[in-house]
Amino acid sequence: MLGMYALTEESDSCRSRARGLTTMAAFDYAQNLYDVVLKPRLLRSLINEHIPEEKQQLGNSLALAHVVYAIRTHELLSERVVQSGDNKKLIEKWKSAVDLWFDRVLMLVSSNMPDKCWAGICLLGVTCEGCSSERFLASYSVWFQKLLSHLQAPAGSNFVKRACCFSISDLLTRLSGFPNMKRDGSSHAAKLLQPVLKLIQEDNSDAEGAVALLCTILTLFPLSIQKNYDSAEAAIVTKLMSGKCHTNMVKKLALCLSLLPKSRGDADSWSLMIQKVLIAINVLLNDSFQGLEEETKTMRALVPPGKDPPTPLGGLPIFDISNKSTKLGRVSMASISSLMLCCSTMLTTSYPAQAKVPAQLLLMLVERVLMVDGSLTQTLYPTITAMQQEHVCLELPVQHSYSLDILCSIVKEAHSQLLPHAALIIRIVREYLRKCELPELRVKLYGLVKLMLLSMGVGLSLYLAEDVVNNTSIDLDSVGDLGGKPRSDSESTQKKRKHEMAFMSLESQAQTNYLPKNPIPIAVKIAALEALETLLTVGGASGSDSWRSSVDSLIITVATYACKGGWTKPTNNDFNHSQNSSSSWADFQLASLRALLASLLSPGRIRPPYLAHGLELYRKGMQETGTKLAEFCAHALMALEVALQKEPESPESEDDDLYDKWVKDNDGNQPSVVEQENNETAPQLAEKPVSIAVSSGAEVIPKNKGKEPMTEIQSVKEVSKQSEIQSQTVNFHVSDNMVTSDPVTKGKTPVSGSVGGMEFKFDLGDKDDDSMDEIPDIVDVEPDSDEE
Amino acid sequence: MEEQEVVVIASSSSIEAGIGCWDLHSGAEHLRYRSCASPSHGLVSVAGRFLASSQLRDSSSSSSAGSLLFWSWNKPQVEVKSFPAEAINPLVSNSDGTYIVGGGVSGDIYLWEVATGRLLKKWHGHYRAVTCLVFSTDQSLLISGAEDGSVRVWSLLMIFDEERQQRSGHLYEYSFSEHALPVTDIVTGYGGSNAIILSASEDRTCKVWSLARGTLLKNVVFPSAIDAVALDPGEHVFYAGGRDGKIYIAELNSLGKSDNNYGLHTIGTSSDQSKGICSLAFAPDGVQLVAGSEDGLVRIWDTKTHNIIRVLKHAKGPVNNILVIQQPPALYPRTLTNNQGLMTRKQVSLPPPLEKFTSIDENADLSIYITPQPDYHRPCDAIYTTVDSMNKQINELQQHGSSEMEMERSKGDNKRSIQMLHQWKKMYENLHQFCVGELLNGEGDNLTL
Repeated sequence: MLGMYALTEESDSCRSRARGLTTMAAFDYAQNLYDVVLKPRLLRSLINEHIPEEKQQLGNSLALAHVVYAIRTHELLSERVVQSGDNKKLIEKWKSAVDLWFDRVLMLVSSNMPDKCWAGICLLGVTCEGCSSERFLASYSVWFQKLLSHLQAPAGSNFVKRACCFSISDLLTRLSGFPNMKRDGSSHAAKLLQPVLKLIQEDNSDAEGAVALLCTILTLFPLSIQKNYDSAEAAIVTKLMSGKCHTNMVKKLALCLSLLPKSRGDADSWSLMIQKVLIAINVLLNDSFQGLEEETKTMRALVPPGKDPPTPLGGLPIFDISNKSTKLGRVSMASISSLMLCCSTMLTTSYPAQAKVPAQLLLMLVERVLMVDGSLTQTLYPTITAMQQEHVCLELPVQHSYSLDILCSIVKEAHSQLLPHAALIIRIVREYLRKCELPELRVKLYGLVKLMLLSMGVGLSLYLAEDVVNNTSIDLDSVGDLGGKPRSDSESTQKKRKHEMAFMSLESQAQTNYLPKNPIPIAVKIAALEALETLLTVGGASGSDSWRSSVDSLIITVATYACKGGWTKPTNNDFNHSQNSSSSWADFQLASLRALLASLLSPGRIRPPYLAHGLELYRKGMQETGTKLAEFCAHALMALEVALQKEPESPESEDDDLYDKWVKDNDGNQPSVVEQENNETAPQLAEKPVSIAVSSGAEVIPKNKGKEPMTEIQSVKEVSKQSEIQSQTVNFHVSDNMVTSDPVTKGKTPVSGSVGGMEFKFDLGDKDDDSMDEIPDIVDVEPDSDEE
Repeated sequence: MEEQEVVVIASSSSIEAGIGCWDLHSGAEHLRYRSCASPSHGLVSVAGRFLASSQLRDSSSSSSAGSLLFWSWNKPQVEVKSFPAEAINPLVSNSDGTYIVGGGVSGDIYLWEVATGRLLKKWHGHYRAVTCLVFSTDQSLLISGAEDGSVRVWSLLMIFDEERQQRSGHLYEYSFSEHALPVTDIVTGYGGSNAIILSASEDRTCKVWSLARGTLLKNVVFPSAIDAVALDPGEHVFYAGGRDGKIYIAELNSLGKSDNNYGLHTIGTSSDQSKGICSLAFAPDGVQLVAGSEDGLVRIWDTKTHNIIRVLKHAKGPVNNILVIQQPPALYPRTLTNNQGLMTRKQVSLPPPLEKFTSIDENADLSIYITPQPDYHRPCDAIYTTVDSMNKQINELQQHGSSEMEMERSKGDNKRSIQMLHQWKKMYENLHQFCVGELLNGEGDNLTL
């Protein structure tokens, strides 16, 4: 055995010696994948395998992506090693590997072949991101010069230039991370401006990279652009107005324009820019909305009489309002939309100084655009041709959409400062809710409503509730979808729920013009549900008497309907997702269950009537593990558990209403039991001195206008005499006497009548529970009836 | 959790005392801001940016109108003085610090924009002097109390919407007139639309109102006039500071469990020298209750143990305002790192004084100010783009079927051309041969001829 062992060992060592000195590292294993020793080796073999030498051809470009992935994942260029005596050799090894990398990459960058050059530029960009700080600082200016020369080359190919832009952008990004290199960065960035602006203006080049680079410069080294401010503005605006950019490019350009004032950094530059943009938009609108709108006062507001208008945006003569003779050529409607996008981008882009937003002017613009729906003005002769109208109508939805974006940004940025403008915004939104029919815009509009509710709180919900409820019910309750028919609701709330959900009264329907065509897209329904959810969250308790019960029933109906056919698995085929992109049935289910939770939790006057049914839905939904829906259902059940443990709140208010009824019906003399039984809501109070408050209050206190509530007496000192209590309750407003009572006796203080009251109220409570149990049955029946 | 620095700020009606400012935990006194004689509810920290206080009418001066003073956190002197049209009692600002609202002795309510000092709105709120003002938690409603005993709820949207006002006939959302004597304090609870309002009055009662329904929920009678109330953060109980020097605990939700002893309890049956409680405020921890008293002392109570934790000495006059707020950064520039210190120094400048009369007309440009965000650079903000663009390009190259197709097509073209070429060549050769043959034949013929 021993001999054998020795023998094998010997043969092993022989073999390894035999393999020879050429492959010394073959058995020099790394500990694991995290071992630093591995990194220089990996780098070297990657270089040898995939990065071509001078005479070699560039291999498959996919291999390049693989190299970049490996370099980023393993941080092969970082040279991050703990400095110590043991790994000096390792450091040396890594250093030489990285040196090799630099040699090869720079060689590629200088290559004459465009594809190799392109590869080199890309790899240099990756190097800027991942190499060590020392190396970066030592050689970035050399790299910069190399890249710049490619950018300026008159005959370079497009894709090389584009890659160049991105690599320079990364170089600047890395450079901006060194706080003491700000000045160097600015001076380097300044050198870029001319070629970049030229690239943007050139017609044939695709300016994507150049615009991205300009964004980076404006963000990181805004000061570098100071000298070229006007030419930059001109280049951006000209490109925007050319109407040849796709949406992404327009967005980038809008961002550039809104970042431009940063280079000056003062409050005035920002204001001037947005004023110029507003003037430009309105000048264009004056032309294109001719014959489609009444005369507007916007221009006068933009440039108040007596003040000089600012220089036209981008120096373009078409925006010069002082020069009356300039005739507008046919400007594409798309460029108006682009400028509107600039407005909302400016609002949402952060600015170093306090930016003064001309809210009124922006709102005027929004109103102006949203109120144009393509119909001709009431004049004798139409002033435009049908073709012009066509032209405008084609682009109007985009402009409406951007107007809503502007509104959204104003609401988001202004916070409480919105107050003076809120009335106007609300007016615009209400008006537009009536008009807007396009699904995409309605979704956006509901989003805006949601935003407004969240930002302006209860005050707004009092205002907007009616409109939100009316519109969402139309959208959610489309005939044919849910099988309900719009029907007057008036006092039929006790009837079948099926009819309740179509609660829109005929009058209010006549009021609203909005009559959608069926079927309403699921995305609109989801947005409507979200708006309702927010309304319930923010203002479910306040002034909701008129709409609360119908909304509750609408939501349970929609939720039941949504979940009727079981749970849909989220579709996994992301590949052909582009067409029916945003919303699926699963989203609809989730939205309906979210709204349902708000409806169950939002404090109302009565116990949530559909609690049992809601719980059942959530329990079922929770079993769909692995879906968002299940997650939410678990959350809902937890929230409802808390709600269940607590006694429903604000039962007192019930009594107020009861009392109001008494006063009306009985002159407040005899509390009528019958009345209370009719009222199906169930007060859950333990103590009910209502009757006392009623009789005594009505008789003794003249000031009382039928609002006298239950009076509770709490005292601090010992009880003196129980008999005093009543009179003192009554006279509490005089309150010279110290009213005293013991809390234990407090429950008994009201005379026996109220004890009776207590009893029958508990009865009612039971009844209510009974009716609760019935609810699921009713609802379960409904889907069947739908199918008929 | 990082302990936040919390300061207690107190002011009184006597001008010598000024505004005191202490650290809640250590009791150490910070700066004392000079020359402030505030009425009750007349002291406010405007979004933590600066201190503002209305001033009691100075009987010695000839002008009957009062004044409004601003202090920045790092200077004891008054920095901005405003002279409103009449003396202002309560003063309040919304949480963003965009508006300051003041209640006048005539019953008018004034709403100023802080950034510009403009008087945006003024309306007649009450028949007699306004005594307290508070914002609802979501800042959309304003609740005011007055000497005439009324409590009114205003929707700020409504205040600014003239069209709507004309339709509704009155400005307020609710008007409660159940208090028989002047209202002394108002607080609101949490809960958005379902919140409660708690009002205290000289008529020895505290009343709980429902914001959702606009009705009285509860009336609690005390043995003494109540000048200050504070709501327990859990909203189970509230604390009422009486003129008899006691702090009463009253239960809010006595419905379910009326058998426990709350309601009987008082804390602050403090020793005899203590005079009436003038102001109450909760510390952010919801346990410590800070009470300002007529004897010029500020006492900090632990509401769990009902013990006094600390007594701060403020002045001889009654301490009628207590604020407990997070320590504003500007109060201590030196504790901050250099960078942040610079930032705060920049922000110190105070807004202009508040206007006496409204200057808002139709053409006034009501702008919105977007406050600058510090351009703080986080490492994760750096966005590198090369890799994405490279991958895109590679994708394009890979997916560009057209180039491959083109190549195939060219190959085909090439092949066809070559074939054609061959054919032409062949034809040419044939022709050539034919011609040569003809020629040779001809010649032969000629020769033969």
